[in-house]
Amino acid sequence: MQRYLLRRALQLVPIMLGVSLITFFLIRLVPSNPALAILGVNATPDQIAYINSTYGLDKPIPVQYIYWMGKVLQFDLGRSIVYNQPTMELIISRLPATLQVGLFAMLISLVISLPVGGISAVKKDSILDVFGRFFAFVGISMPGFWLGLLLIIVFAVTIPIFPIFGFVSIFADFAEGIRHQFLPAVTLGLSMAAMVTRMTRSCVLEVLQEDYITTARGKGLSGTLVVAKHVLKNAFIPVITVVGLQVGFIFGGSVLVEVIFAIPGLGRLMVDSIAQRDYPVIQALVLVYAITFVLVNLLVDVLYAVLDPRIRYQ
Amino acid sequence: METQLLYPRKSRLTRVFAIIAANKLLLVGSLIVFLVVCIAIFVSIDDVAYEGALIERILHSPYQMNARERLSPPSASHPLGTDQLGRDVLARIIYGSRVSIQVGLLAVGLSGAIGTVIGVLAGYIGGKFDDFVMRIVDILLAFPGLILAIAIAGFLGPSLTNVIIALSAKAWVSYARVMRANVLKMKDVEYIQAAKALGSSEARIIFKNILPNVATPMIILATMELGSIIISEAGLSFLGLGPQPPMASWGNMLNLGRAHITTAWWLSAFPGLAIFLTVMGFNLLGDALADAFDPKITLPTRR
Repeated sequence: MQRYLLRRALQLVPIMLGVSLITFFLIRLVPSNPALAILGVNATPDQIAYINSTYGLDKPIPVQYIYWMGKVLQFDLGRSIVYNQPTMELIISRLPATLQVGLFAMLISLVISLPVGGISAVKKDSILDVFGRFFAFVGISMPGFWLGLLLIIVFAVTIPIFPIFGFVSIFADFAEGIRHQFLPAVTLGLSMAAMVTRMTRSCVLEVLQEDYITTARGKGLSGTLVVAKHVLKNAFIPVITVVGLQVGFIFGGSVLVEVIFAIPGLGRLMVDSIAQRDYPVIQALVLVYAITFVLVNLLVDVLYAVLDPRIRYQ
Repeated sequence: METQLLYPRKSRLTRVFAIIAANKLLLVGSLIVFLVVCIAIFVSIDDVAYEGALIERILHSPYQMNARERLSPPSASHPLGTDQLGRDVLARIIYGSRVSIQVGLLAVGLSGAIGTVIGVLAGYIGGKFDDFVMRIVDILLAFPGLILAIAIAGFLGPSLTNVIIALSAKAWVSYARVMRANVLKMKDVEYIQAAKALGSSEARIIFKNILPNVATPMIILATMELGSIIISEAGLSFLGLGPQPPMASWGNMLNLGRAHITTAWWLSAFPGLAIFLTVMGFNLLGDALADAFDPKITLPTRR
């Protein structure tokens, strides 16, 4: 196990290096000089020189990268031009909203997708399976942000049970927090549930065909017991991997959902920073998203190896 | 598979139609896709050759503002209502189809071409080059879905071309992986070995023996990708990173819908329905194609 952990951690080094390189060069995509883009066309040469020296834009590119990387390794992600404060502080202040909605969305999606996908597979080709597959298919074809708008029209405008937008921390006011994050979390959760339902269904179907399931049936176990004791345990292991990958989907989807529901989270910060040309913040956010995504998937892989010892020896 | 056996002697085209007719979902999917593509072609012709005269005669101009009919609900003259400037929503949805289809086809074409070339080379050459390509693939997969596209589109600035670039930047990876896996599988097949023994050039083996045999998984993958590319494009347009007003795209229409959500539900409902139906069409087509063709082909798990 320790050797497996070490190997997986070492694999991350080149990936992290590559991620940092791509993130660093993203700012070079800006069509004009970044300093000009930040200041606008009316900038004086003095201002441009100031921006260039503050952000190190006047130095050779490899030097810039090493300088930037050195700061990143000390958790210094630069300063926001618009807010004039360290980007790290901005990100930390916006993190709770994204986490709260994202985790709630994840919970909703798992509560729906695991039973629906499981039942769909066990009762293959029954009416329940048809419904399950229909749900998954519709969910995959539906743009999440449109679902969000429809939910607002139905449950916030026509029947005003939920607020149209806004965010309340569940730690400040639990009931109001849940009420405010319900529609955004359902929006994100349902889109994700569709994909996980499909995956769960095919994983359970695969396990149902294994020899040990036939053996379990053959020795006289009841259908329910076979499913409960043998199928679920084995089928949910690969599903965990999918859930890990879905974290990336939650990140992307949360940008749209936070814009629709005016939630002050990381996604909203990203969109605002793009509108305000706050390039250091966009760059820092991309890096934080990617690193988090990589680490979550490392965690998932380790969990996978704990649950399934065969993985460790591959 | 049975459907193929039922029509063994017919021409290839007849067989394709027979498969489509035998599968209702495939039929529905193809019809939707056909319809949307026809609408998009109509829009291009109308816009380029007639400067919008055709749609104005049938319906309304998608750009014509009307101060007296702002935010009016669906009616006989405006079947899907009007927006905050009094423009006809149906006409704008029809015009918006062009953006979705254009971006979808171009982004899938671009990423498919890049992915195919890189994937075939990585699988065929192998060794150091393959390791290098797979590293890059791993690095790109470390960026979560839409985030990289949003950042790239944000840095490049809002435009149709930049949306295509932003969406293709990561999308080529899935084609490269599928191509590589299939080429690796093919490399040791006997007739490839035979072609090598007969002295075929590398290029001839790739173009004549390998590419035709891995075309099917690519077409299926491309069809499936079209749906998700269209959703992503709408997402970028929704965030204001796509084509700029007054040009209509389904995504930027939804953005207007968000602004008027308490008073004008039709602004949010209908453009989204257009996206949903189009994506469903491509997904039905993709799923049915995957079922109808050889089940042995290697497709990737979706990320």
